[in-house]
Amino acid sequence: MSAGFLSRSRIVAPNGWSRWLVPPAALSVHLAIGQVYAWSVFKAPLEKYLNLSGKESALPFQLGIVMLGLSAAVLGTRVEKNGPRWAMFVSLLCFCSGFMLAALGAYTQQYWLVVLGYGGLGGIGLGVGYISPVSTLIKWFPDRPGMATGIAIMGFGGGALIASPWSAAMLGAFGVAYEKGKVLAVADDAIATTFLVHGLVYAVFMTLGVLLVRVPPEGWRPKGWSPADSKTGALITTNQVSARNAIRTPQFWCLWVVLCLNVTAGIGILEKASPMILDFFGKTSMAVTATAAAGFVALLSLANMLGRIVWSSASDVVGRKNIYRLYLGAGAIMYLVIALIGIEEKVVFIGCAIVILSFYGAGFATIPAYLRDLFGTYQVGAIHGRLLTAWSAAGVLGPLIINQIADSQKAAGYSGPALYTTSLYIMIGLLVIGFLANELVRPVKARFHEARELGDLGKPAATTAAATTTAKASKPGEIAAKASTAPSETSGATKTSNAGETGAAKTSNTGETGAAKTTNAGATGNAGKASNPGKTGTPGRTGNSFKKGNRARTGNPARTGNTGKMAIPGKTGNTGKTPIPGKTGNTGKTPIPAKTANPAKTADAAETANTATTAKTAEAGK
Amino acid sequence: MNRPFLIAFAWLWVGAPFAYGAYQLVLKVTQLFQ
Repeated sequence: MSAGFLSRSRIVAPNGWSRWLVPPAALSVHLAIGQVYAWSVFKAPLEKYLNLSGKESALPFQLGIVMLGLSAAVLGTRVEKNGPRWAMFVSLLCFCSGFMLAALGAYTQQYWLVVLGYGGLGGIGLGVGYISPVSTLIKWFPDRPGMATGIAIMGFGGGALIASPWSAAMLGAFGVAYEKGKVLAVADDAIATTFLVHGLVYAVFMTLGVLLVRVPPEGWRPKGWSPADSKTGALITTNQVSARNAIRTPQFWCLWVVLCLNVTAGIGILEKASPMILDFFGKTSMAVTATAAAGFVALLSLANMLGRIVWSSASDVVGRKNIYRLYLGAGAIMYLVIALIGIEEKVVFIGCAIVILSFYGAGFATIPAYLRDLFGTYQVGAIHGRLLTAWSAAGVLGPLIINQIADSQKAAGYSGPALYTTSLYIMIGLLVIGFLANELVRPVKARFHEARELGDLGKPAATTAAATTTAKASKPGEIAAKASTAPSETSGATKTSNAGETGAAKTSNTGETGAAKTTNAGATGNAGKASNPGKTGTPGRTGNSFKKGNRARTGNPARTGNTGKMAIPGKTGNTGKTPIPGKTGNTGKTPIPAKTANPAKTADAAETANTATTAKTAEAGK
Repeated sequence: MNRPFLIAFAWLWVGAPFAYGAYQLVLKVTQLFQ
């Protein structure tokens, strides 16, 4: 699937490619899939046409959001591996086929097909399409990651902005009759035709992203920028952490709590915005009409969208931890102000709600940049995907809290603002917990870092870390676990070498730094545990000797008698500085031909197995 | 392909519908103050 046109290798940007072509590519996907937030437009016509309850008509949306979280979490690693064009194409396919299936369901009046199509299939498209553009933009804008993620995720908010009036106009044009906002009649095929047109138009719209998206070439940097120029801080790492390791860190779960609670607090007000303002001010001298309440909801949408780009861009300047202090700390204060003063002052209420909603949107937009700071760019998309489960949880938690409490207060005879005061204090409590979780975020410990240095663009660049980590690590099992995660999930690295069988011999491309010196690294105290000469020059999946435990095959001094700087009598007979007369024909200082891999793979290996660094590795090992 | 043209086209592709959505939103927001 990932071969050919869709493969990552086909979309490496040529020289002179402007990075400002990437945001529109990302936006063409996010603006499309953001349509999910405009589902409510279809609810009333569906209820009328298929005789559904409000709960039933919400099912496609709910399933869609659940599938978004699940597919982002489950497919995140594959998305990273196969690249953004593949991801955008899959997203297009799922999202648009979902509409087609929903059209069939509406046409045949089989509602389950609408749910399955829009929610199930379309939801997968949402998850896959959500994370890939974000991680691609992060790689193109290493100097402004907050702004980059803000652009993409603002697009997701903007999707509903476009779809809401557009879908309503189309439903009207195809035969849904409205009077004072209520559906009077629905013509046969009106909904089916609307779904069909949506699917087709979005397919065309998203195609731009599929065609235009590019990944930066290895070693690419923005003009006049170097990593040293970027804002540095304890939380901004130059190391890389795989998705698999990331979820084992407390930092991931702290951010999970931060996102979940920030979103819960936002949803709390977003869900009930319209009835809330009516209950607060409907019967006061500052009377608010239903039309004005709709305007209030629109204003909150605007705040939600603008907050994504504005606050997220600001996080590039003030730092990610500080900006979340603002979202959560000031958010709690805003809720408190509403609870204490807002119930009497319309302007104060509206102002606070706007700020809260801007923080809500910003929380979504800044989190990928926060992840990038903590875990590096290597698998930031996959890590982001896993973190989105917090969104799914918040999607249930937020409305549940505010609806449940409002209902129980109503049953107890309360009315007006009293319906919401308890909810407001609960939201304050949640935001304070989120604030504390953010305070607990510390730099990720070295034991979670990849056992190799990875380039900024997520491709393995050198192997220093292997020996360094090996030297530091105390448990062989720990080393093995770390090393095993990274390569299996990097497309480039996976194919770079095939040391599985031959260990050091095949993978250490350069005789001088490979076999000879790597054995040194092993000799520094790791021999017989996890050390294998292959580790220093073996960035590939199978070539990772930690993972495969090749010590038993080639690197194990006990079996092969491989010691110190002596040649390794493994299968290939790779020997230090001398030509290798083994199967691979590996000769001293030259790259390994033939059996190593196909030419493309070997090229990858050449990129990754940086011999100079390998030499350092040996030194580190010493 | 001409890069400046491509950049302009790409931004217009996403900018035009976005502007439409933003315009519709502003129309709604004004209702709050009527």
